[in-house]
Amino acid sequence: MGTLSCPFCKTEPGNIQNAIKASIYLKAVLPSLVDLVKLDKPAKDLIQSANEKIFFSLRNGDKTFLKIENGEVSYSPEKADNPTIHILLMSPEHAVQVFEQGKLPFLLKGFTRISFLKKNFDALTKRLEYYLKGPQNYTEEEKKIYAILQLKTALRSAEVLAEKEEISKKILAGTPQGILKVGIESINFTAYFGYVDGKWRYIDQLSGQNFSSVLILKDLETTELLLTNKLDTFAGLGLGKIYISGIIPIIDNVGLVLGRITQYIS
Amino acid sequence: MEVFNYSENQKWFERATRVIPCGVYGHFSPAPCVPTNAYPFFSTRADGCKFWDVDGNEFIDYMCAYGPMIMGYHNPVVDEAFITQLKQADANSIASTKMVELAEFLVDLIPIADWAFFAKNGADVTNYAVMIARAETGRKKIIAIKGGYHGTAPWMQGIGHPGVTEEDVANVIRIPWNDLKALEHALEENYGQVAGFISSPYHHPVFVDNEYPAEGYWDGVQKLLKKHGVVLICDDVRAGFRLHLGGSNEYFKFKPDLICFCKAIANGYPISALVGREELKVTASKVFHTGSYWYSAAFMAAAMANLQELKRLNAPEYLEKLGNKFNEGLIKLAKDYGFNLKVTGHPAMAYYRITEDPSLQLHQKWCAECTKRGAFFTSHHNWFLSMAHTDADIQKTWEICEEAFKVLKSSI
Ligand SMILES: Cc1ncc(COP(=O)(O)O)c(C=O)c1O
Repeated sequence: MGTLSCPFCKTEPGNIQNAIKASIYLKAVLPSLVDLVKLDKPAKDLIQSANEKIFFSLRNGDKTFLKIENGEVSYSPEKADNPTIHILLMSPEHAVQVFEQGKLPFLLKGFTRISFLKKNFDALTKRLEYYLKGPQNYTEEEKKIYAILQLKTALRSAEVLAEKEEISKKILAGTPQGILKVGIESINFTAYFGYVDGKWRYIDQLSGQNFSSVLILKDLETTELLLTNKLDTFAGLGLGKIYISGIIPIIDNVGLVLGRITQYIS
Repeated sequence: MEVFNYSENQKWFERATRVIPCGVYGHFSPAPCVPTNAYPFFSTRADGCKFWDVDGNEFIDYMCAYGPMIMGYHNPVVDEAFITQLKQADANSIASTKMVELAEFLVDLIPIADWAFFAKNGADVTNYAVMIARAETGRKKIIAIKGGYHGTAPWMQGIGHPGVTEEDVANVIRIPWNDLKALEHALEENYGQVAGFISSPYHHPVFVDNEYPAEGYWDGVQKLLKKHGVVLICDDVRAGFRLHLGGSNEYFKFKPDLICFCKAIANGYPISALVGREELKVTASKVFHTGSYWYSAAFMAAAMANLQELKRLNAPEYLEKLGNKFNEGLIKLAKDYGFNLKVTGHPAMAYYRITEDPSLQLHQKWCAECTKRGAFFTSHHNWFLSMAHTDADIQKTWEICEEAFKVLKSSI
């Protein structure tokens, strides 16, 4: 399996950050494969004829269930079916080593599928890494995919921090409850992050709820600058590269949580 | 009605972003201006209750420099006192007698004050007040109100803000406004550890309705603090001298141990003050706190002249009356166009919100439409009135507001 070192790491194995890191890989990075195959033709080609159900389970921790079928990937945070492949991660440290350093996981099921894991899934995760590692000499289409995957992974990671990280919990405890719409104007992209059913979470599409704040990035260039921490957001606001409205403290505080992701993955 | 163009503002802003973090930082930054293209960023001139931006647009100013302006820009009496003192002596190597005179004046003006200390910004004195409370009690913890603003020193900020460590805020307990039970609980849970309770006289946070103290609240606070030997610090930086010249605590009938003043004290000249009770004077003398410009005599002369003018004109009464009139007109106008404009806080510095849209976007749009036509309104912060706002200004503002309500109505 490819190292999913979505650029992210500053880990010293064994430190307490690993639990959060492992969750970010399981609940934010792996689920991004769903979007990757939707957006990226080479990624889709890799799994076009595959029919697999891969279950990642962290002992006493998070689970990720990926169903690969008809050239699509779907994600569930629980075991949704009988897996064809079951990958066991013994501890958060082990999970981080698997995702970042290419250490072998424990395969509990799927011994006959090793060639799929080694070839196709490995290539698929490398393709994800290509986007999550950060800007390269992307084509125009790839720039768009990079922006979408990075933003969605960041919002999903924020959900992990909201649940597991003490400082993020404190930040969000003092945040007005509502839903933030995040978008990139030039490519008509939107995603949401908000307080729903008693918890702060990533929301792909709204179903009936209203959003209470808006953060729109004008174009892909602005998005890249923001994602690479090269954008002065206040200056961006004044220059019309970023537009905000609604309950601004939600934007401020979710921004603070998003800013904390690099403490775990970079 | 003309809708303003901000092309020169934009040019200056672009220039600024090249050499200044945020372009314009802090509370003047573009962050709360929604949408930013409805707001000016750079002024060239100010006079009375108006300022002009770099595009030549004229605004009736309802932010009053976020509070410092109270007599009107370029008030002749205050400016004259400033210039006269500047010519005699301002910053030099020893203190000015103006400092003594200003302290005496404040001690006479403010019922709880037995001494006064001067600095430059609000946070200089909120910080000093907290240090005094800690020195006096030998304790570490401070209770403050959720959403209460006291400046930008690390302990005053929220956890998770860049540059703020967990240790910085570890000794600050935040409780909800108007919640005596929460105060009692915090005091008991931290028995013998709480040095001070810092709060504005009424709750004037940003983005949400402002709130007066509930019946019996300040009495209850004082009793609890007395029982636990905790110093009561009133942060009157924003409301001070607008509600009552003796401190806003007089308006709400309570007696703090320390009061922090800044904003309206010198009509825009930079000076802040901490006043306190006799019992804390020796402790105050032991806490080392100073700054390069804290002895500038011209600002002290300006403060004295400004406070004398406020007293002569009975400013709080004028501002309250004017505010009530202004608000009645605004509420009626809103109603005529089918909107509910909720006004909270003191009429001299009220917070406004169109209630139809809890996400504030409608309110933001209305404030933006007013600003683009010459009434400078922010949508997140309480506004301010000054002694320079006249009936004619109010009338013109209502006309602008009406036009903006029309735009709002046609957009939904
Ligand atoms: C209530 C209150 N306290 C303290 C401060 C901090 O004052 P300064 O910005 O002058 O440090 C402010 C500033 O807005 C304030 O409104």
